[in-house]
Amino acid sequence: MNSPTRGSRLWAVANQKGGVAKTTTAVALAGLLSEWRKRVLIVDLDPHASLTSYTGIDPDSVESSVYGLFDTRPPGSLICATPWPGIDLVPAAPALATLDRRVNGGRGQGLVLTRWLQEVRDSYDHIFMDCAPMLGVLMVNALVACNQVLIPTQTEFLSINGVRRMTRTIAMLERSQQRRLSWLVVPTMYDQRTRAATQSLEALREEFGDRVWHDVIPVDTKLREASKAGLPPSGFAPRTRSVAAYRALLDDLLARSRVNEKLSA
Amino acid sequence: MSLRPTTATGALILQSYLDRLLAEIPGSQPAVTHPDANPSETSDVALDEDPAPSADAHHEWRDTPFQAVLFCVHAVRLAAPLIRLHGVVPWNEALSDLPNTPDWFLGVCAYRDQNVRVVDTSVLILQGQNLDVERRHQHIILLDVGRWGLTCDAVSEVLTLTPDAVQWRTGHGSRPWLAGTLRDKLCALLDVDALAAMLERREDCRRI
Repeated sequence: MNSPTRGSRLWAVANQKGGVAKTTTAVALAGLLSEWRKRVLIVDLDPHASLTSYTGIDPDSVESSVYGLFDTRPPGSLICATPWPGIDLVPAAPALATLDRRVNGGRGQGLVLTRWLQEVRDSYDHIFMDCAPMLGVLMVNALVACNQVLIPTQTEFLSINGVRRMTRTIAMLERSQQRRLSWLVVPTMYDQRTRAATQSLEALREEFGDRVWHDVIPVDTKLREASKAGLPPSGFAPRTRSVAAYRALLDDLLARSRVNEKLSA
Repeated sequence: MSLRPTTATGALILQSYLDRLLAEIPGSQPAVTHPDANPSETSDVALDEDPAPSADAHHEWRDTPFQAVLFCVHAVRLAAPLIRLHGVVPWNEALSDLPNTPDWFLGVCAYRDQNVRVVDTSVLILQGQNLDVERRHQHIILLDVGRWGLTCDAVSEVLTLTPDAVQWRTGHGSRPWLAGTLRDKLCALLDVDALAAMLERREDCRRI
């Protein structure tokens, strides 16, 4: 087995609140990495299949999806190419909405994705898992499988509750697994003109300290236009300030990863 | 009636849910190596091995640190391994009676589309000890897959225990439900699987 520190990095993009730019964050980071000639796999773990739809693939007509992982399909058959060079996808399908009922909290069902990723991770430099905004078997699989959890958070007051719920979930997983999970809150859709945004960012930093990324992803209509065009933000509008912010975030995340690798070496 | 978890028990239920999802299934698949695990500590050989099935697959939690729920029944403290529980729910409604049941069988309630057979822990486990201590059972602890529930007065805490923190019971005596004793807490640790099996046997006998 290859050293995981030299193999792919696994990122879970998760928040138990919806509409916080999880999918946008996953696509933006994946797009930037593919421009740097990195091999990237994106895994859509949301029954709403926003990530799958973003790539232009119709979730209602995919032959295989993440559901297949729980259905003993051989690894590899779940992966499909996207229109974006260097980025492959494990699509979601609406049937994922029935998965929790099907696995019914069964023993070991939280480790399915980790096992599968052991088979495919050598083919990729980075793997992003885009989670649904609810705690269930898919989110547990992603949180357990990843090296780092990214928690995108809209800078408004209701979103702080979503971060609190995520941190409670992470603490429980840490107890179950007897290991520390690395996580970072990423403030998104930040509009510096509104008092609500500045105050909620302040509140986030006060409560979660250096677990909050030191910068922000600004609100930017180009991000919405990029998803409409079916392109990663860096491919659609490379010079916009939101892409610059995602680039800074990626630089920071990779620097942190390198430090952690050295510490654990 | 139906039982709904409250905020007070929500964390326990959620922890139990996560523990089950993350429990390795011995012998069924290669062990999971976490991406952050130190590769020098993992064994490629172990992944290729086909381990012999465990003598009792449900007991593998005894070999590693595990979490135990402490609960009280008539002022007597008992413990149960969290990983072998289905959940903890408040008991605040009447149970449905069944005819010709023993005195330890309190009745049946519904929980998530399943009938839970509720057992009076003070009669079955404590065999009537401390009944002079006035308590009202407040919670039902759901065992294993949730077919059986144990009544208790209060759920006090969740501890993480190492195997050597337990004086394990060897051999089978008149109390098959007793896995051992927590050395520091001096309380009985239940063998949830043996208890559930005992209850199933008694249920079968009653039907005959």
